[in-house]
Amino acid sequence: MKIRVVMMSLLALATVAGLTAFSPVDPQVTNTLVTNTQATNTQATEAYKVDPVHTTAIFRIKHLGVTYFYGRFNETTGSFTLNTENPCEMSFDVQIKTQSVDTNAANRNNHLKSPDFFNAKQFPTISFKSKSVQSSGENTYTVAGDLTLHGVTKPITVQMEFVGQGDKGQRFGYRAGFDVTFTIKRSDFGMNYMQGMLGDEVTIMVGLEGVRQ
Amino acid sequence: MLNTIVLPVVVPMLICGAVLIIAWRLRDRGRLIRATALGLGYLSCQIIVDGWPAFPPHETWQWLFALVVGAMVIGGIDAVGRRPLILRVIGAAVLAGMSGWLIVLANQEHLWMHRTTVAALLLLWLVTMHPITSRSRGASVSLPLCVAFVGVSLVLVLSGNAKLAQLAGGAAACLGAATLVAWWRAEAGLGCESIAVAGVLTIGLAYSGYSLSFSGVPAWAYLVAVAAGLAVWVGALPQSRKSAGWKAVTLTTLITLAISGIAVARAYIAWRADSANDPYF
Repeated sequence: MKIRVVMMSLLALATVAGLTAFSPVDPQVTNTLVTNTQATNTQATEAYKVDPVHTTAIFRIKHLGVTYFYGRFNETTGSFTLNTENPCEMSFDVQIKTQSVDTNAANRNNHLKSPDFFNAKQFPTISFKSKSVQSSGENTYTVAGDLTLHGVTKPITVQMEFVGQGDKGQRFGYRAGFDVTFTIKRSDFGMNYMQGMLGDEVTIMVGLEGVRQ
Repeated sequence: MLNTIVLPVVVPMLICGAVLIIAWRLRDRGRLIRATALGLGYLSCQIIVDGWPAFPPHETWQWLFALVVGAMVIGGIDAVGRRPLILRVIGAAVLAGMSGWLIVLANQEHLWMHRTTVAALLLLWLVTMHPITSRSRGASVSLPLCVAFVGVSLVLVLSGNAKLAQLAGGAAACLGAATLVAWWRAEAGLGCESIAVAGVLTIGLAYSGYSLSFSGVPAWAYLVAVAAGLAVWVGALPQSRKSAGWKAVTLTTLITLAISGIAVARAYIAWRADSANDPYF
């Protein structure tokens, strides 16, 4: 009787062991799959919404040929997508409100918003929409796209630096950011007024911060 | 300095003055040419300030170039023959309607109210100014209008529209040249054939300045600056007509100056309010 019980127990153990051995759900395999899926998600193209509070757009222009004068735009909106493994999947779509131009002088702001410069009532936004993104080094990307300023759209190519990304907790969420500096000629966009007094070349610097959606 | 002030003032002045003198030399055959004096002077100013115009224009205010050409055509038709009143009113209505349509921003809030206001103001200008200017001689039109345009120019510059102010200044320079020519030869001065150009410019520039500006200058200041030009009517009053020509012109000009002064003073107050710690301009 004892022998029968022992034999039955061994048979049951063997059956369980056999079933476990041939089970399609191997815990180790499952763990590996989960890790791979997470890695794939990191590489997937992620959408970010521009955080207007932590995004900065400033510009500089030569004044009277003696110094650079700086100003900023206080309202920047837009979105971008991020895929560091596959940059051609990345895109940028950024808008700046021209009437948010701020040079720390109310009358000069009014002048800049007038038809002499931005004509902010008729052309309320400056926009950049990327067409292609290519990696050009460690954390740098060559971004080609259309810049629309003063109602004139021109293709430009800029070098963007990928500054960083990370989960910044519940308050800030997952964030990523870029920095870009590029120079345009305002006359190319039909902004010719006060040439000489003000330079033709305008350097625009944008620190772009986005929150993952 | 040369490009900002001297050229946009001197060149239009010379062109307007030269055209008026040529028209005077041609006597009756020169009436059509005289109709183009103010318009050609202004067009030269816009080219100097803003470059050769594109068609269609990129910005709404740039339509003034084409509208001035249209106003010159209407003035020319006025100059070469007497048209029935109804045709004159239709011509004025078409010009006013086109002005309201073209210089008002398509994305303007209360779009039709703006368009109607611009068209109605221009129509009012043309209908009221034509009878008086058709009877006037010498500097009785050009001098008060010159003062009114200087007022419009000052209001525009104080509201942060330097380019539009330059254009109004160019028109004022043309009218200044016309005044000098009229003092030299009374019959060589501007007449009714230039009133359409003056109307398109004063209302077009003031409206563009108002609608495209971000300054605190209120709408009524622009309106008063435009209305100053209507003081030309003072010269047509019976009391003025009885007095000597120079007295009537002086009185009209002083009234224009006073009305313009109200507009400029209001614009200056707004400019001061925005420049507490700001030495801009």
